[in-house]
Amino acid sequence: MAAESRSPPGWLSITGGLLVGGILLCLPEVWAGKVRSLVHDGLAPGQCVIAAAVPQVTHAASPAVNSVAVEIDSSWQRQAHYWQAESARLRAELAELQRVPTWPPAAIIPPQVRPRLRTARVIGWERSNGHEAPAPVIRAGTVDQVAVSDLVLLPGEPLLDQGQTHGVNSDDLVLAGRSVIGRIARTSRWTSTIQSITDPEFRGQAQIVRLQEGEAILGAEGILSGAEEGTCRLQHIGTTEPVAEGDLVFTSLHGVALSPPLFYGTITKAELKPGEPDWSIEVAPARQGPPPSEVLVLELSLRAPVTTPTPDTARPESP
Amino acid sequence: MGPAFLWLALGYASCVWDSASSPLDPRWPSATGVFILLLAMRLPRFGPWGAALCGLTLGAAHGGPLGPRVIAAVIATALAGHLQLGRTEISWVRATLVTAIAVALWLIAPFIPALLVSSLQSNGWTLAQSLATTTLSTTLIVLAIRSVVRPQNRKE
Repeated sequence: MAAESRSPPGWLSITGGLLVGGILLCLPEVWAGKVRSLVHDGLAPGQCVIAAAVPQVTHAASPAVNSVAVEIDSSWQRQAHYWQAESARLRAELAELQRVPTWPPAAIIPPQVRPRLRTARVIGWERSNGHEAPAPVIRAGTVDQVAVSDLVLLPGEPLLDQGQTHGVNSDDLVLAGRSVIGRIARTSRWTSTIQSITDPEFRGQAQIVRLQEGEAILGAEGILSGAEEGTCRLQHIGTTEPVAEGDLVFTSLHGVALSPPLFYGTITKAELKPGEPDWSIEVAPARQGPPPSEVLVLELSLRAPVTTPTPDTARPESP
Repeated sequence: MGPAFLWLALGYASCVWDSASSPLDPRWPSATGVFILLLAMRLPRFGPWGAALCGLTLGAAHGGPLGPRVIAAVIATALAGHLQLGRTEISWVRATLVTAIAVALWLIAPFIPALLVSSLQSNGWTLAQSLATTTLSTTLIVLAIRSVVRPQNRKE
């Protein structure tokens, strides 16, 4: 047996192996994705051990991206961005309330969607199609209720020292001042792959917050998409809308789920091209370079419905 | 059962180690490169299948098409097996050349589809430098292990 095993590989084995390789090369993307999910799940336990033992391993990324890695998401900037956007949102809400007659409190439906943050460790890297930087693979999957399109945020402690008396809810505190770095592109049972906001296939609803004479004003809504060289583009902003370099870009501030604003980045270039109906806007993401070794996944779960007691249920039972 | 389990554990550990680093900035030396060449030296008959499985695992973990790694693994082990890398009769020059070619093929394989369609972007030169370093270090490690584990002679 030993002598047999030490003889050179037979042509049958080589041809068979090459054939398997050829079949895998032609495998449809759907099946290839399933194989990748299985492999990621299988390697996850070992990768977790390595991530715990050698933390710096997970910081590895494309050298080209490393060279431009700039940490601009400092704490005071995050806090400033939060309040600027919150100020703009409240200003817009005030304008809306002054225009529309106020509904009685009983008619206002309480928010049914509750945001929740889950910390997930980066355990591996995957090449993404058409994108220079590799996509991080995190240790959180469908068993952790992570779903495709969930937003991925930068970690860090919430900064705001405010309470309910200031009108800030606990969910707001969890999200306050945070920056979006991507979204979940693919999930498997125990792992998920992140799509960076600079990936050309990334799309997200975004809104401009303009700073005019020291005041934050809610600007136009558009679609944020990834662009080359670690930047993003803000699309579908009409040329009639006011846009300037230095304006901030947030997730759309309308809607209940993402009511606390999440920061995308800053407009670094805005120009009008002749004949184009929209602005050509370049956005520098909040964090450039490789993602941190841990990220936060934003899950949106349903809040238990609030029911008002009916006369039947409110009546105490007779003994 | 014992040796098979040992090879399986070694293969899993090498895949985990390599998949934990970025595919565009591979850590050196390549653990999977060392593993498939050890497999080709010690078990040349079963080398292609073990290497193909290793190639499939790492290819899937690092994204991109699944086939190139598998094909490269099969060719690398077949090359090492047929050129008798595990035997003492062959000269050091030949052993070095065979090892370097096999490792280079293993490392470059996932980027061949991108090279064919010229979609490697601005980091091409940095990537080439990184791959060269990994190839060199992996070759040296394989040769060092080869000299330590004393390759078997024909008379065995």
